[in-house]
Amino acid sequence: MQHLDEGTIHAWLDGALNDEETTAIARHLVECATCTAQVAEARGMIAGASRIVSSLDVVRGNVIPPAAPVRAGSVWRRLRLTPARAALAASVLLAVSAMLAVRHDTPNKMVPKTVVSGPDARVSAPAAATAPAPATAVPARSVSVVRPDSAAAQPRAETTATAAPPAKAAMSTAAANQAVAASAGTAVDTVKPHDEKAARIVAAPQSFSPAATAAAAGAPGFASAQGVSARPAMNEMRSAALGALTPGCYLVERDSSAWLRVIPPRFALVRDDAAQRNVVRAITLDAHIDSVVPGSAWREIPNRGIVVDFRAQPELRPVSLTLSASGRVAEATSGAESRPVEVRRVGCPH
Amino acid sequence: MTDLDRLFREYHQPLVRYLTRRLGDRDWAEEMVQETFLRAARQDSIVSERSWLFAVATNLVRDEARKDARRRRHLELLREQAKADDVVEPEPLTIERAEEAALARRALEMLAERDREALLMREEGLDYTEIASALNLSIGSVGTTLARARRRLVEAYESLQPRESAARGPHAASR
Repeated sequence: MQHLDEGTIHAWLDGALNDEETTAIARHLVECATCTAQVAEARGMIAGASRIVSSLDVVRGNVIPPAAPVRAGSVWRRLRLTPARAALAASVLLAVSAMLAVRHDTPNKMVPKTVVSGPDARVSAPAAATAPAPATAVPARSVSVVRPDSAAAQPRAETTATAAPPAKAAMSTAAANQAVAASAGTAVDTVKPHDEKAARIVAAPQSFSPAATAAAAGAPGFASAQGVSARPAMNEMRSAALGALTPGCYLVERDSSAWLRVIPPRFALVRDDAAQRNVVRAITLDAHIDSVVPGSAWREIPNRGIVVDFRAQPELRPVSLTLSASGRVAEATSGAESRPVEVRRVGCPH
Repeated sequence: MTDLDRLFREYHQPLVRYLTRRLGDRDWAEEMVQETFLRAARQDSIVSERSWLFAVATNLVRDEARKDARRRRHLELLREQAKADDVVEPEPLTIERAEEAALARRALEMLAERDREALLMREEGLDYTEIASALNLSIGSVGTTLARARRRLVEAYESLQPRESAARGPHAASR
């Protein structure tokens, strides 16, 4: 199959091709780095053009509600913590606690290993990190149950960015993407023109354990974890952790499924205190929190995560996106259809 | 509910938004949309209603643009009167957003007419078949038209950006 032309790529991204063509293109993209780079560029063009057109809507009238400035509510801003700092603090605490445990543990002090799961597991690591007392804490086990996406537990997976043509607009789109991620203290896939090798970029830790962060921030629950009754403290910590998790900003890595187009590529989950509701705001390419995504809303589902509902647009079905607290893969559901979607949590633009 | 009522409820807002983006003038857009629905009311049946409505609205705007400026001046006069009567300003705009909108409008005006219309229709959710029907294009060329329109819009917007920033001075550049 020869290289895809720009029109076909846009038609494919717009979901305008039939199943046969869609499959053929998907197959071709697996083995063609040039076309994959062009697809990435086209995605940027679509998002960029869409944003420019949306900015026309500031005319008088109720075309699209104006974006209210998002100020309060960021835990990171209040605590002067960035995800990177929090992850670093959590790493140091865990390393110290592990070291102390190795030094002081003797066989008769070890608590038998038990399976730890659920929310308790999520908070036990930082609890041990702040309370490394050898008699009661179980440092070794605690370390092992840090969430997989915790920065302290492991770095983010490596991502591969393929070479893209150095089109001026694409470069600036990439720069805008970087601006979004940079404000989140993260690295993004950078587009390196004419680079023979695929650029392997290890993204900085950006998704982190809220509990670990809460520990680093000295959340009240962690002090009480040293006491006898741990469960109430854990519940409290979990609430604090979820509170830190829910209002945040996310980047969505979409595939070509037409029905996922209703999900904006970058969005922020925001609590609108004035209206007493949870709203979703789009994030622009130049890292500004923009208008409310019409008809969208989000809610917390205990022990499951956050469900974000995106309303149907004229030719698109409504989609619910479930953001699990345990990983970067979310589940998008529309009617009977569902599929995993890669969602990266990032810090919100200031 | 009559068919016209349903059409109005379903398509009035998208059409107004489409034409407002196209014209930069909401009152003018409203008028064109009214005319579009009047024409729809005269039709016995409409097969593909969304593409039909967008095509009629687009053609009305084209026809309008070809006429002399007399009517427009009259509309502007009416608009000024309406503004004077309108004590409530529903959207307090920030300077930044207003500047951004002005920049976006200038960039949009730099596109060829067909590219601009295709792009704005797509942003209103029309699919390729509807865009092709409304603009008398082949379906196969809609992707190319949209690709070109998007690229040119982004490039035009960015080509305007540095000049605007420079003109506004160092504060704008550091923003």
